[in-house]
Amino acid sequence: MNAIEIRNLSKTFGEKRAVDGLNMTVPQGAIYGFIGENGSGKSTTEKLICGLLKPSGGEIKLWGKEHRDQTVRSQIGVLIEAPGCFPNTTVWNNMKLQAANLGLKNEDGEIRRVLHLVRMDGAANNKFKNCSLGMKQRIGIAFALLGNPALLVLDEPINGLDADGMRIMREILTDLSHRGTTVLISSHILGELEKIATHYGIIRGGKMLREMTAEQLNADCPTYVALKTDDIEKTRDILQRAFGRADMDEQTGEIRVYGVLAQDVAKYLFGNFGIAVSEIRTAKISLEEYYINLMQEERK
Amino acid sequence: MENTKTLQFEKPSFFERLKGMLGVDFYRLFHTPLFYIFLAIAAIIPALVSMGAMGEGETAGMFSNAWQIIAADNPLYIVHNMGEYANMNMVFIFGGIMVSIFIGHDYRSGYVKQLFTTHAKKEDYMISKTLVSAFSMVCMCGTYLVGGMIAGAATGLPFTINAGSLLCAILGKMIMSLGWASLYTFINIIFRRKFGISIALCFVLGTGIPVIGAAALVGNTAALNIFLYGSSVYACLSANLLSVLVCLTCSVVWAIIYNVLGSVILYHRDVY
Repeated sequence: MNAIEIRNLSKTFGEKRAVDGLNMTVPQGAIYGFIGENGSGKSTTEKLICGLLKPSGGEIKLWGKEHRDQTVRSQIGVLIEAPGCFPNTTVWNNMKLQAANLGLKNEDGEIRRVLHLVRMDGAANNKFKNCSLGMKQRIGIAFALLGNPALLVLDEPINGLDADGMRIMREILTDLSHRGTTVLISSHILGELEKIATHYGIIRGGKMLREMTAEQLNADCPTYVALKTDDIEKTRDILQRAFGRADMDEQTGEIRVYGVLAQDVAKYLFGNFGIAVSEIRTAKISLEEYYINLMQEERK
Repeated sequence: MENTKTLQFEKPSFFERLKGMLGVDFYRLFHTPLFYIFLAIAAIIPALVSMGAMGEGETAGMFSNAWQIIAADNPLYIVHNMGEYANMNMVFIFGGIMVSIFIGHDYRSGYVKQLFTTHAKKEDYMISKTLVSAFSMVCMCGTYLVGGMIAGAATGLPFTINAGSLLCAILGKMIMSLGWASLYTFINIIFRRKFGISIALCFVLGTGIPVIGAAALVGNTAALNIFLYGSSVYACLSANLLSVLVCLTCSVVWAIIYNVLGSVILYHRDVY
């Protein structure tokens, strides 16, 4: 069953079309990495899913039911932008208020559980306004986790987190996914997203550019050999002739050769041309690189 | 990966939802200085009014009876002097400002966003805000009453009154809190984050200027009781059970109208 199914969704603000005929499918239990440039329509789509915005057209189904259906709403945990907390109230009391709105039975136990999950047990008595950005993000996640929802919608949840915070977040989301919770997560930190996502959706100009599983992304991102020599230009020409394709990475000053083994390239250069390789490694196209290339193609 | 989560689609009842939301709103009300500040303001207003009455100039001698600080002698929709105007109705002016700040804070803090992503319904929000705001204005009426009695005693004015009429007048004004609260909640739903406009509009409507203006055109007619300000004026020192009934009807009808309109607006507009 799909947790989220969106068909031909659109949302306009005056003349501006923020979401334009978007189609999207998020399977139950997936960690769906929602990627796009600033202003591409990610947050708007998430707000539409959560019922904060009214669609101009199209339909959103959550587990096959209309997204505004009250029964499915109780299964959603949300963190969009910042958590909606009262600044002068303690973290604990803010969570008590949300727990009351959710109609949770064992409020205190549930709050303790989610605060422990995000490693914020010690911050319960802090006033929300005194929490750091990273703490606020974690509290926002705890808010979203209250009541053990089946769908989490998280808008840029790893912004402001330190390395440890990101690791904790990864662990939490992966664990939740293993238990069957569906996670829709948008982020610009693609390196982090790549570590956890099982599915991806790339949005541009309010339209879904590409939707794929992590396996499909893996297949689209080939491994390559990156190397450096004393004479980069000459090496590149040789490798281009020999292997059909050798790209120059302007940023690192490396040459990239695809579909070959590192030792074969090194042997070939030294054995036939006497060129010594100073650095060589095997790497893979990352999600970030894949995304940047895709965006460049789209701009053309 | 085996996804074993079993989905349970529960539908909380209206009373369960409202109980949770009222719990949150009452908690907020009692834990914010705003409520207590406005209770204090309501208690101070009678002192300021009576000080004006004791001074010289136009306001001098505007009260002949201490209870006139609470309500006018008769239902006069056309105001001739401050004595006919300055009474417990002023609570509704300040009540509007309080409600605007209270609801405005929902939007500023993002609480509304957090709330409407849950199973909460828009009408629950309207009802909860109306009830909590009405409660706060009833409390303000209470502190105004205490402040009025102290101010009356301090000014040495006589406390002569028909106790039944006084009770009906106070009860009528307290009942009107519900209607006023629903109006203010509705205004704040329209303007949402622009709560400066909400405050200004609540203030203008709370002063009763539109009804006073209408009274200047149509005269001192009981037909004006269909408006919130009209009924609030009707709850005066000559009030009886009929006055209370009129206040109750007017207040409840307007509360329903504003709650329905507010819910419709919330359903048809973006929430956040």
